Amino acid sequence: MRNRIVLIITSFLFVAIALMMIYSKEKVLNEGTLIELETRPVDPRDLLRGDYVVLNYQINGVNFDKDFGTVSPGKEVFVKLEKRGRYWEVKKAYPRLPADTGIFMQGIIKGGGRFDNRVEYGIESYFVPEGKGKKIEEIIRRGNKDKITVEVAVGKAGNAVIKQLLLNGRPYGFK
Amino acid sequence: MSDYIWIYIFAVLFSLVLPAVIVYVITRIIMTKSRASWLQKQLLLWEENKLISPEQAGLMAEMSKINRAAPKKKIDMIKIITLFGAVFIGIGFIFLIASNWQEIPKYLRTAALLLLTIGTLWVGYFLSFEKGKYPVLGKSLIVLAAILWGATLALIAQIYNLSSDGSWIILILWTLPLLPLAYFLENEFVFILASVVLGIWNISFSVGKSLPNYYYPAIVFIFLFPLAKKFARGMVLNIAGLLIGAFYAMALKYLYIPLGIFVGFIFYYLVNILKPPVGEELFLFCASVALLAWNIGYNFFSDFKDPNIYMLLPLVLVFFLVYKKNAKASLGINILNVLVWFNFIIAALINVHKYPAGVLVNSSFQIFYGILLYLTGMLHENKKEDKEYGILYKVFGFIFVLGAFYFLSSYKIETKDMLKLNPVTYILFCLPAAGMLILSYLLAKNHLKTKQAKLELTAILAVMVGTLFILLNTGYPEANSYVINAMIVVISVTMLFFGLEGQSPKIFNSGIAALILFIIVRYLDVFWKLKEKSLFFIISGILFIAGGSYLEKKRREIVRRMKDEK
Repeated sequence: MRNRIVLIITSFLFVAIALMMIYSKEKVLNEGTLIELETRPVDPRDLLRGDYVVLNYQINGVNFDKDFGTVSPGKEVFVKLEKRGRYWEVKKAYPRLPADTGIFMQGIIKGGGRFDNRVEYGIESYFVPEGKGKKIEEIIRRGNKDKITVEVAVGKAGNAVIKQLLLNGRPYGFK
Repeated sequence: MSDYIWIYIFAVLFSLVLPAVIVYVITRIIMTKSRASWLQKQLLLWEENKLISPEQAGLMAEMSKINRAAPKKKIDMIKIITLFGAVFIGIGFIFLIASNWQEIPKYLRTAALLLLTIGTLWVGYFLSFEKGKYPVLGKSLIVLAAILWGATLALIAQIYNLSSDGSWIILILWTLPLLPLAYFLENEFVFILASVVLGIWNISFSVGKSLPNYYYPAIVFIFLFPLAKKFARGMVLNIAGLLIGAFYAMALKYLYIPLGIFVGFIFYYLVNILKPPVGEELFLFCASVALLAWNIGYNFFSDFKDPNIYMLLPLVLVFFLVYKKNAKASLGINILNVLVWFNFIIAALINVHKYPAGVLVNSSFQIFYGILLYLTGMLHENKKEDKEYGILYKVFGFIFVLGAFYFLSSYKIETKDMLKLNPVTYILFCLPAAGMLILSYLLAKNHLKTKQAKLELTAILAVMVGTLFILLNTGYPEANSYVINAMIVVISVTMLFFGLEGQSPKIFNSGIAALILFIIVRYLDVFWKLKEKSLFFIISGILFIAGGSYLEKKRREIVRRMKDEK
């Protein structure tokens, strides 16, 4: 009987954890503000999860002013984004989520410098069907005619989820 | 999709049907074997209770094509094969997910995999516990469910493009539900899987968040160690994970992690609530290794400019425990700890005050430290219960002294390496002074009366004088090379005599090894410079074969004589 209870609890945990993960991402995708970001992809492979493109955004390089306080690797940061033309860019970095209105994205500081320091937001990977990553890279390499960008949903708490990859502003198809 | 439909269908068949066939075949083999095993046991039982005659039992066994002898324990092989099957299927699913099939809706993919995971878990449970007839297959299916749970999380992470830096989230969520499962169902392989994934999570967390992972040692010490009481292999894996974690944190200059691991191991050693698989002393040994990591990390952090005086406290504690609890296996690592600590103190003094200190000074520190260790060993030898400690000190002392001389013998000493007096060199001269004090004590207590002790005393004095000579000789660097080589010969020959005198083949053989190594190194130094390399190799080969055979013959004769005399 004890073992049955353990099994029921484990099965419940499996479902609960899976649903929790899905819910947290779906909530951002459905309720978050959609923004478009510029990228530079490359093509590595995740041993566990297959092919993906690493996405480097313009917003990965952040300047920190004196109000921010100490800049150290691993520190949490909230960047305020503003739309400049078609794409969104960093306006200012905060150590905590401000009460202001606007779009804020939560990230982690990677380096120790105050200028052009790398910040990652958990949206730097985009998983593609096996063997399709190279094609995206080729599109980028062919020239300035085609442009790969990313549509990202940003939640109120600053958490971001990739919605889709865009080619010249239209959803990228993998067929 | 139409272009690739056949490839997809083939992939599905290959990925799902093939593992299913393998599982079916294995299941059939196990079930047939289980039935045969059951009948085999029953026949013995019926025969013992005289329900059937031996002839009838023989006939029944013949009909069922089974051996009537007591059942042999062949279960391990079946266990391994079934486990491999489970792991292979699990890996197959991970690769299947890695191929990222966008044709199947994401909710359907997730739900199917989740249901398969839970289904496998329950089937495994029923086979091994409720029915109880197929425990091996059941346990393997539980392992498969544990792997499939990881695959489910990987799939969700893939669907929502969780960045690789965030992989640590998947890894910790993978591990946590497995721990109670492993413990209550007593499944060691699930525990091993959870321990390995947690170890990878530790590194992944630090990389992903650019922060030290204090949670890992806490989780291992608080949850995994008590759970590992049932699983010896799991315990070893977690100990290895902690030590890897200590050195990884050391490399990233996260100082509190190795220190925390040291405290955790000491706690488990002192409270004595768990018995690790290879003896309780393993905890003290691992604590000492973590201490080494902390000390190195501390000095990395300060660029070797801040003497780690705090190290003194844990060092005193571990040496106290080594003696108090008679934990001899941990003595060696702590002798090394003291050497490393002492060297870093000297390095910090040199770096901060910019004292000139060349190779000669640095090597002399190791030689004098070795001599002090050897003398400490001699101090221990007069008490019977401390004799083993004495041998350990002597062995380490010998290795440090001979190692330093070998290093110096291969180094070309120049004028810039010569001694320049400064506070660091004064500390250096304190070491032989301390050595002389110990020697005086040994003489005063009349502990040097045996022939062996006198031989040791002669060698120690020779090494001390030789080292002081190379330190104080500031005019002729070449003379130092002769003295250094002479020291190696003196130590090796002393060991030969010491071995002969004490009838100890181990010491005699070590002396021979030291001497042969010396001859080879010097031979290479002299003849490697020759232009004609082919001649060098041919002559070397002949000399080594001839010399080696002669020495080996002589060595065996002497060792045999020693044993005969004993």
